[in-house]
Amino acid sequence: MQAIFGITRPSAGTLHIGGDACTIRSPVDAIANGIVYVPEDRGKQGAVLGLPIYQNVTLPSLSQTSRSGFLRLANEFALARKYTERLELRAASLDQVMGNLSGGNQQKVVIAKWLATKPRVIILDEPTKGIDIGSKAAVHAFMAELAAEGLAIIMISSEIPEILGMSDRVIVMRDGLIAAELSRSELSPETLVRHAAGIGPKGHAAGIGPKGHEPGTGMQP
Amino acid sequence: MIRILKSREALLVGVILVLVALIASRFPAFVAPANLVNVLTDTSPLIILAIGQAMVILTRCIDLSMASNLALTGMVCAMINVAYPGLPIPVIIVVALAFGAALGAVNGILVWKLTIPPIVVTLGTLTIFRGIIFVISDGAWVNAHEMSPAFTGFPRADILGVPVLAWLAIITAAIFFVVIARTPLGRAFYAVGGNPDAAVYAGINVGKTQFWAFVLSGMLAGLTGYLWVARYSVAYVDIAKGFELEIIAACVIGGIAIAGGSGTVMGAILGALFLGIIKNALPVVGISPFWQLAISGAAIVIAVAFNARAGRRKGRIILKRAEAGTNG
Repeated sequence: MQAIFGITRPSAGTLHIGGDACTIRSPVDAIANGIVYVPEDRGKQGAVLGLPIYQNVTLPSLSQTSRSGFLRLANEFALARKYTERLELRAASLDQVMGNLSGGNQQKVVIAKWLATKPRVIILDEPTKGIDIGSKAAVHAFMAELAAEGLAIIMISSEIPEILGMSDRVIVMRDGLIAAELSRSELSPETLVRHAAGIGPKGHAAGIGPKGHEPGTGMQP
Repeated sequence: MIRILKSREALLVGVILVLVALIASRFPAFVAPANLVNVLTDTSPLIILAIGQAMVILTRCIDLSMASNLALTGMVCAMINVAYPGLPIPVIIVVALAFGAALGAVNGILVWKLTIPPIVVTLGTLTIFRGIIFVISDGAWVNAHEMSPAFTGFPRADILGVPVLAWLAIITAAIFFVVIARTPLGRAFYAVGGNPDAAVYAGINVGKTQFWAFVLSGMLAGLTGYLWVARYSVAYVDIAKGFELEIIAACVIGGIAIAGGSGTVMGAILGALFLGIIKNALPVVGISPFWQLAISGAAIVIAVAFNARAGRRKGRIILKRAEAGTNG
């Protein structure tokens, strides 16, 4: 997934979005092509904890909120408000420093940050890891809502119930390669784990399944 | 954090006012407008340099080469003036800005492309720049009588009773307040310093952002180089030697976190003013100026202790919030 976002260099393959091939060498290219990545390690990779909420939200979309090279704080607040309200963020104010929020609310800010860039493909790496059950449900509901709007979502998860509950299509990856592609009708915990572990039904490896609600995204390895 | 930073600046304003009031209670002449203008003018180079350093520190780097950059650019300006005495001052200023920026770009490129730790890079360029001054000047001084009157007169020229040098500090402060608080580049400084990993994911080129911080700090060092040489009417190898520590001290006192990602232009200015006032007041009060070093040192330790305490207080706030969250 980091290869799609341009952080690690892919060993082979081409990337197509909606039928067009594109080259992505850096996260800047990825964002310009409408691909965004919500990283797994929220504290380390997702949020700048020392900055206020609104600055975190607008960080990748500053070109949208600034005019002739200068930031417009009013625009920033408007953008941040729009997306954090959509995610039902609970915070005293958008001025509040990110580090004072709970894990679930930080995750909402990180997702809001990426939605504000109006992406075509959103990659969520373990989006519900380490957040409270209420926020978890909110994130799931929100993902379904986004998929209904036509956004392509790739969720990376190692929680089987989550994969079973959310996916239209599951790709099981093992050791950096695609082990299997399963459609919703073929899904069952047994098949998932079997593919994830390799051969035998007694597999013990963790299943990592990217999965998508995907209109028009194709990845060719 | 913003609230804490605000209080840090308010605190500094308070400390500075108390300091000035204390001095004034025994030496009323100190607060005469003319003397205050003197203090501001005297502190102006430090203010300009501290603003440059603040940007670099915001991005989690440090620029130890500023004073050497200042001395080298100052020497270059002085030698240009000796060679072409007719060259108008605006040209000299553009040369100073460009040359300083170029020296800053050397630091920036090394940090960006070779990913050498900034402290090592600038420790190297600190000595390299000094060495270059010796090479180009053969260790000779450029003295007042060799410089043109326009060259030395410019920083001292009066506008509304305030010398150009002080005006330049005020203008620099205004420009860089806007750059840091109101441009995408300024926001990138905070993001890169606050969390470089997250900045990468947000599509910010960390190395490039740090490069620009070094270019801007170099540019300000270059500008100060001309002003310094012109004001003291002399250029030689050792000018402003050791001044880099005073610049960093001003930033630390001003609440620019050495770990990057937090601090304001206002803080850097107040930190510089604090040191400037102490420096100017000591002779008035009759204390040996050599005490200034000890006092600056003590101020740094106290400032860092305040930063640590602010951090701890923040921890308690989180707990209170968590409690409120579970109860409500």
